[in-house]
Amino acid sequence: MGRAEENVEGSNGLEQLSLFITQRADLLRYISIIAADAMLAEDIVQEAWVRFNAAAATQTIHEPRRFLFRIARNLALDDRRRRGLEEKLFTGDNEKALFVASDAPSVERSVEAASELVLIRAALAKLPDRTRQAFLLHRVEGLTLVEIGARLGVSKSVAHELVTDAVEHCRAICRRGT
Amino acid sequence: MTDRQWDRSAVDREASAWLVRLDNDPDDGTLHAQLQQWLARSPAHRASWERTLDLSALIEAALPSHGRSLANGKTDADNVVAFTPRRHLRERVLRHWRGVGGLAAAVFIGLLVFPHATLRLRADAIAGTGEVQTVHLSDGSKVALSPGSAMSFQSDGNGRNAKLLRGRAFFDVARDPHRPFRVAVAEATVTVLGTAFEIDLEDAGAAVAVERGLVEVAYPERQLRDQLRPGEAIRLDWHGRHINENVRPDRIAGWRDGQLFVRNRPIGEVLAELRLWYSGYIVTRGVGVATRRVTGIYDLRNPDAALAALAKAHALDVRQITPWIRIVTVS
Repeated sequence: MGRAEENVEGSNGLEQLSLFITQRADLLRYISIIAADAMLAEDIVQEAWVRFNAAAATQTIHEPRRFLFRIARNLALDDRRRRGLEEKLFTGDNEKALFVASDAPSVERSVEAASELVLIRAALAKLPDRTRQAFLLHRVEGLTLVEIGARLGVSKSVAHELVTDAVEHCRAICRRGT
Repeated sequence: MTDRQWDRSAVDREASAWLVRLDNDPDDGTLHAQLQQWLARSPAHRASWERTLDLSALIEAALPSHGRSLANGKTDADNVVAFTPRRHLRERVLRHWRGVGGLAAAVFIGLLVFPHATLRLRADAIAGTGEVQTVHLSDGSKVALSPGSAMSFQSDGNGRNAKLLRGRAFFDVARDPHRPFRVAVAEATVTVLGTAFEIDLEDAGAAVAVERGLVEVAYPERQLRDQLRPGEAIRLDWHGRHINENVRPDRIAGWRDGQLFVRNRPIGEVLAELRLWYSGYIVTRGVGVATRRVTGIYDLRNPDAALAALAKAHALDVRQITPWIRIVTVS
């Protein structure tokens, strides 16, 4: 590798580091709002930074701040889901815990966890089309509410209502269990 | 509903609205401060927020991975493996007969069945329309075959050899280090020791995605040899090109529970997939079949509902001719 390229890489690394230092406080506050355990916010932010760097080494990052926040968000949500599963598996309510003999996840429990995913998917399939579209554009395509509004020919606040409806629909289905 | 329950669902809805706002603008400091104020209003607000985040984590796991990569600003290639383009004999035959009506198409059923007849001579297992067939192999491995797929299997002291003749299969391989498990997919071979993975055989190529374990994909004719770990996938075409992809392991082979995830795929592919689950015939026409793209989650076990959902969202014209035939026009 030539010297010029090294310099370019070096300055990119510096830019990223200064990005991280200036964003760190914001990111930490964001993660402490969404992490299951506020004590873990530091770890999640650290891990997000490591992953951000790994991604930056192989590709050009166009929206670095948003990308860094997105990585941290996904880590926090993954951690939540893992905790939720473990709680069900190993502690749960005492009555159920009696039936968990070993500390390995039982087949029934993993089936139960998988069926929650099936419930959510089925719930989404049953949404009215516009609501589902708004929701998928928000959660899967990562469009902003303004972009979704423009795509569907509605205002930003209507787009916000549609996506909120979808979340509430999933909540209702999960609570009912059908 | 009591007042208390009503209050709770009202607070829950507010929490969902905050969740959407925060996901829309995760790095907005003003928003963080406003949300903090909302959370400080009562322990019930805090508790509702925690429940909403757990729900969000569940939704995140249930959805296909993020579509538009923030890293490069492009919509990346499809991460959802449970999907393959496929030329269809039914489609080719019926194309000449469209508009003629139920009688002519019914006559063709004999012809349509014919290729199955030759396949039956080679295959040990064939899954019928609309069913995922679970096959228990003699070595203890299990295979889920998607509708219309076919495979054969032979096992001896040296090894276990399966062949995917058509369609797609999800393999859950019994561990046996002394007898490698190989799957031949046209000219390529997939070798494993004990693992769970999916293979799609398409006209133009094949795709392999690994849920657990370690898998080696070899395509000697094209000097390709690659090892895949959980969450990794490879798509190869018969011209020797290949693309490595990442797939969330819990999203591999979604067709096993009758769900189809599609992100930014031509509508014709969705229709081809529905066809496999539909007991009648779906005839497609119009330029939009190849060019119009869709994103969505469809219930494969109810193809008419999926068709209706597609029709409403994408201005398709679906005509019903006899209870068994649907003609879908995509302009």
